[in-house]
Amino acid sequence: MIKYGHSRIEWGEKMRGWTVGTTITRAARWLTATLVAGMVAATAPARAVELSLWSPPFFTPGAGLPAMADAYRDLYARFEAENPGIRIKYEVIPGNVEALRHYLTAAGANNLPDVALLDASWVARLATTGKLQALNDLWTAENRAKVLPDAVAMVTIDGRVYTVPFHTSLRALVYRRDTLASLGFEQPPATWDRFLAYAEAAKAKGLHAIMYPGHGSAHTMLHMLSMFWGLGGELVDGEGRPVFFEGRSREALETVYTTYRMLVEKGYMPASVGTMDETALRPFFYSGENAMSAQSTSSLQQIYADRPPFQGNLGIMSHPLPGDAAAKPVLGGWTYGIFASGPERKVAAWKFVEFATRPANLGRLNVVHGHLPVQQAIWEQDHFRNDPLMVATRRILETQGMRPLPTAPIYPAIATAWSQQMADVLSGRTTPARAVENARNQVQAEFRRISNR
Amino acid sequence: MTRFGNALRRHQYVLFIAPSVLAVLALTAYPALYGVFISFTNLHFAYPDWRFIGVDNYRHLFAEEEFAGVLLNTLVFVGAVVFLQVALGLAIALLLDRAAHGRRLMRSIAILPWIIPAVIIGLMFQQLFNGSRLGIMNSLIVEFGFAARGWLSSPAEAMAVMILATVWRGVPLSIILQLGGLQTVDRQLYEAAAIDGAGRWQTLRHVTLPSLKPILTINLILATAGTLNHVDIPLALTGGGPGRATEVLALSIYKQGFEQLDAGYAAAIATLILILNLALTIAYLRILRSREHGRR
Amino acid sequence: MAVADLGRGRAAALGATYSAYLLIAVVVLFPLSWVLLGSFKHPSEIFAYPTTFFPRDFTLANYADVIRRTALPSYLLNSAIVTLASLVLTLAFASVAAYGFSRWDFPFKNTLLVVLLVLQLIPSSVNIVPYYVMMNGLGLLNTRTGVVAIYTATQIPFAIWILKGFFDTLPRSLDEAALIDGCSMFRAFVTIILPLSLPGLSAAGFLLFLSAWSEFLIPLVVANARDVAVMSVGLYTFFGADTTQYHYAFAASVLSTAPLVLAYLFAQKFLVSGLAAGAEKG
Repeated sequence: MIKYGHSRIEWGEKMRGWTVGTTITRAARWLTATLVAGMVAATAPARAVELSLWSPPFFTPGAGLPAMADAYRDLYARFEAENPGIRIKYEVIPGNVEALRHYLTAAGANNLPDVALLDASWVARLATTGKLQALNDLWTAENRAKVLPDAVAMVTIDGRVYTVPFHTSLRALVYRRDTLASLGFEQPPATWDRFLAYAEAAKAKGLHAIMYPGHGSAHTMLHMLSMFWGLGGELVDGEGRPVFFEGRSREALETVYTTYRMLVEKGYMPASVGTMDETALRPFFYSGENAMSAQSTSSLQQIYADRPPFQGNLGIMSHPLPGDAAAKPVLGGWTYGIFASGPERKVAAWKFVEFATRPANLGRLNVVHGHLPVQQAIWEQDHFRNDPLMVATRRILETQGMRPLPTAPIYPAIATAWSQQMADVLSGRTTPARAVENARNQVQAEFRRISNR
Repeated sequence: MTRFGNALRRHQYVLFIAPSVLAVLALTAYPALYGVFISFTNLHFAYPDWRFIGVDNYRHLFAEEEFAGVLLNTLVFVGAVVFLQVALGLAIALLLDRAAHGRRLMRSIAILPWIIPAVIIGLMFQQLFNGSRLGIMNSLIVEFGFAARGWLSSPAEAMAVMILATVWRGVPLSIILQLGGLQTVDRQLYEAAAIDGAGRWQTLRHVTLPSLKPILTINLILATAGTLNHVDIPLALTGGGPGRATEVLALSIYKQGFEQLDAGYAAAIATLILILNLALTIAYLRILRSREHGRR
Repeated sequence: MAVADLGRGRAAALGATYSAYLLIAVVVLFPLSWVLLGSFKHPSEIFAYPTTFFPRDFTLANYADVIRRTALPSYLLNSAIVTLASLVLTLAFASVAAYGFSRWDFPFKNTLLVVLLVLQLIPSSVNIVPYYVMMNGLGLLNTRTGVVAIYTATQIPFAIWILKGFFDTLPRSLDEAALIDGCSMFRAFVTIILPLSLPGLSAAGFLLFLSAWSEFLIPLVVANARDVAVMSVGLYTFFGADTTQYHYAFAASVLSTAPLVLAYLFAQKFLVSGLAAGAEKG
């Protein structure tokens, strides 16, 4: 009680000093101060723009590998130093196929970030939301020419360039040279017959000769696609309609499924790969149970970090196919996209994208990730010219070429449908022919749904 | 004191309980009803518009052939977990009831899994049962001469591991309930049985278990509700895989709603579980009421 | 029976008991020690073959790394904020309501208690879709506020349950004495009953802490952005998905469970008696 009364007295004393005259003067002074402050604020440089950026963890300072995390922290710091009015606020979203749904939900809820790291295969689908910004004005034709034309083409729809590709990767078979040598294969088994001979030798020694990802997620599709294209198949026609179940394409797809099934039947590959993506395959590679694993070059740095002894002991070769057809590496990879639509934010977002894809900055990032560059200038940099695995990779790319993913909104649905059939094919629960049928039905249904909305 | 003041004082309880009741209604009852409403629409998180579609979601649900598999998985999962949890909980409680050195330490150890967050348990068992030779469980069984197993890439083994992980987590609570129940058994009954010359097993069957029946029943119901609605371990351990071999009903809600983004369909599954839970609740209330009557 | 037989019988029983103890200890402690020991191993040792149980080179680097390089500190902080806030709010709401239920008789009182109990039994998995839609509509998606609101509302019935049981054991004479002195019921509650309820509040508090800290599905659905993610969401989304970061996952799991273990050690006394009694009284 006493305490309360005391404050009452203090407040009363404060009020005591206020007469009419002093009140008016004080109010006037306060008002002027406010107006002046307002004018100063108006002419001062704009408050910092805070760019929101969504990305899977490995492209941010939150990356698992310290080298990657440091590289991005450094990138953001130098960008903010060069552009004092802009700050990056990054948010990590899971990097798997869920991310596409995340973006679609956000588009529906008007909740998209300013800048986003987008897988190239999502671009067409995201463009249909109308929220992905075309970059033709900001990314001039002259600068675009410095990037692999195929890479730019895969993110261009109806002449509008939607994202900036900054790398690609090769999905191929990574093998341990010492294990293959112990089986009698100093040179990798590049032809179909030699591959089967290798598989027999591995099986005799109690190893899994080969492991492909068979899980219902994106990795599976990318290996399948490389083989499918090599066998002469086509995914979609010129209008983006799915055609993989017609004629020669159907045969190619059935051959792909049959090949996977054959590897399991002959004991060269365990059926349990139907539950694994590339990440889950790696422990088997590390333990020595498996001598050849279908991986992406992007995972090499991770593999070296997990198993330092593998440095210098790995080789890479392209998928062997029946009839010695040459698999066609898939040109894909990640890109920078902009959703910000207001002019100020859009320009700020572009400044960041431009900064991150400058050869000097991007070169370092490509090396740290183990990515394959899409800029000619970066291919000329030291690491890519000298590292043996990079050299082998380049040779594969030069002899077999790369083919970009189709820019059709139906592509993600095709990828899902193909991958989801694989587990059943591997275990024998469904035949390759039936798998193609199921994939066709699933894709057609989704195609109708997209065309109608 | 005015008449209004008196009335206010008499009804003061309203002020005490209203905020809580309102908060609870707003965030448990209302969402449940809202969920039922959503189940009659085609709300989908990737598309902004929606409309009523009547019972289409439910029709789709029962027509989908894989759904029967999910129901079967749920039956197997809940059945096995509840049985093992209650049985092991009882057995361990009986063990801990006996005087022995280190009993208190043992009790603390036995209850330890209860405080580990379920998601960590899921991730932990996922690593323990890695299918390659690097997995620690594989290393162990290889030591004993068995072949390494695929564990989580095999449908039956994945379900077994999921049951194991859930039982591992759930037994402590069962132990706590049963131990508490054991404390309330009338000691005189034990003495009477000893005087009559009853052996250990006989005492167990004719004195202990009947006295424990009420708490056993409560344990059964809580375990069933807890397991039926549990998503954390299935999601963290297997994600429903391989394929959909370990997908249980509760996990379906999450997968359909937030992976497939089909909100209406997920809400239909949720309503189904809600009905199952109501049935369990009614059973629970009947038991409680009969015990209240029994006491009086 | 001969005395010698009795001795053998007892020895056998004791042997059986201690064998059971050993079995239980192994089953419980083996997975936990695997995680604990794994957190002290170098990353490359985790993928070495043959597998090792004890670390060959003991290292604390994983803890340093996971704290410095990942967002784990942020996850733990978010967990702490959300848990503490919901704990305080729930106890505040629930103790007031439990007092009301304990000290007054009114029509539908028991029905209301039962209704609250029934509502508590609606599992979070059932309500996740409506929660997402509601939080989105209220603009509380990806905020800690939304998470705290849901936790509080879903835990209040249980807390009322426990606290009412506790208040019922405190004699009315205490309240009446306070009333005679001229206090309002609320005053009596705050100054007399609450201070005596520390055991009940601690028991309820520990259980609420455990439940809120471990909660996974609700924050996964309603607040999974990195800056508001709680520990369980962080572990699943950012450590669980990329399975090669085992060393981070192990260290993060240990750090995430430590607060619970500490709280458990303090709360041991209340557990067995308090819970069983609560379940029985219903």
